[in-house]
Amino acid sequence: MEWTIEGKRDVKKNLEEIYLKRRGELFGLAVAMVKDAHSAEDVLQDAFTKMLERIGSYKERGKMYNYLVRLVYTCAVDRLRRKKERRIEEEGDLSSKVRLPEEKSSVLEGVRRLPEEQRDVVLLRHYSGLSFAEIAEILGAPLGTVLSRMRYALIKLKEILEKRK
Amino acid sequence: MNCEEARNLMVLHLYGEMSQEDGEKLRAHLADCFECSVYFAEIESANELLKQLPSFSELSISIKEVRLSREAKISRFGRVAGVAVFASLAAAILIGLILHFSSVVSVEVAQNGSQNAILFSFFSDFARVFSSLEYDILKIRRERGGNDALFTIRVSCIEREMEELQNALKEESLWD
Repeated sequence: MEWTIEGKRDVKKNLEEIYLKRRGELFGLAVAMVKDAHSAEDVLQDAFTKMLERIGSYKERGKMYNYLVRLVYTCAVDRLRRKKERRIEEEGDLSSKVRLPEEKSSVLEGVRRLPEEQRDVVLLRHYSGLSFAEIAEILGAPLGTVLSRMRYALIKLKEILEKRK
Repeated sequence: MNCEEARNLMVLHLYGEMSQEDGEKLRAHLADCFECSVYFAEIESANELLKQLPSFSELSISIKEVRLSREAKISRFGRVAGVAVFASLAAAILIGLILHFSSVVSVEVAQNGSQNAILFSFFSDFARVFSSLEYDILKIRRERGGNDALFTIRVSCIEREMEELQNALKEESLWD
């Protein structure tokens, strides 16, 4: 299903539709990136707010969901950067807060330890449901670069998880 | 095709995004290049590990559970207020529906005498509906101060969800 930006009138309806049907994916991406549920809710809120603010000036005819994924991603990156600048300590790791099977939370932790560029490709591909070509568009990088980041991520992840064992 | 290109195509293959044409090129390259075959086996097994990454629904569900139990502990008052809102909302809808369907129910009950089954099904559906909506209501109430535009969207989403669920209830065999 596609939601495209055709005109201001449909925008609110489309946003509602996306919120209703795909907020899980957007929230999953945000949680996986910023690590705790509270910050992830803020990220989602920021992204929807930005979408609403920009809707008037957004002239491209693009898929609205993809644009929202981009906003969630950039808001999450901003948030992580601000945290780093302020040297705020992590609010504890997610695996201790959520009830995930051991195996699953260790893979999630492993992905978080990847270099940022690789981690972002993995999380975007896994949670947003977008293709690598669409992710390349969001990241503003050539498809080849995104694909090589993904395979470096796979090799690195295997190393990380084997070390932990 | 060089090794770098072939290795990128492997990623597309693993995620089912490779075209048939590229598939043939990759196969031809792998037949000739031993190193790439080894590399392919390696990223294929690494990708199996990645399949263990929790899905978005697993993340959301576990967070929701933790959040609900924490909210219950931290803020008894808030919880009570939330439940009060939820209860009045539930009551209003229940009354509406009961009024609407009372004639149907009584006919049904008279016909097959399965009053308990009907009532159980009726209330378990509502319990399911409202436990999820209760969470949303609690959450948006807390965030009300934040952003009005998003608040409106969320409220209208919840209204739509309720409407859809009511329609689903009507369609369920209960009211045939």
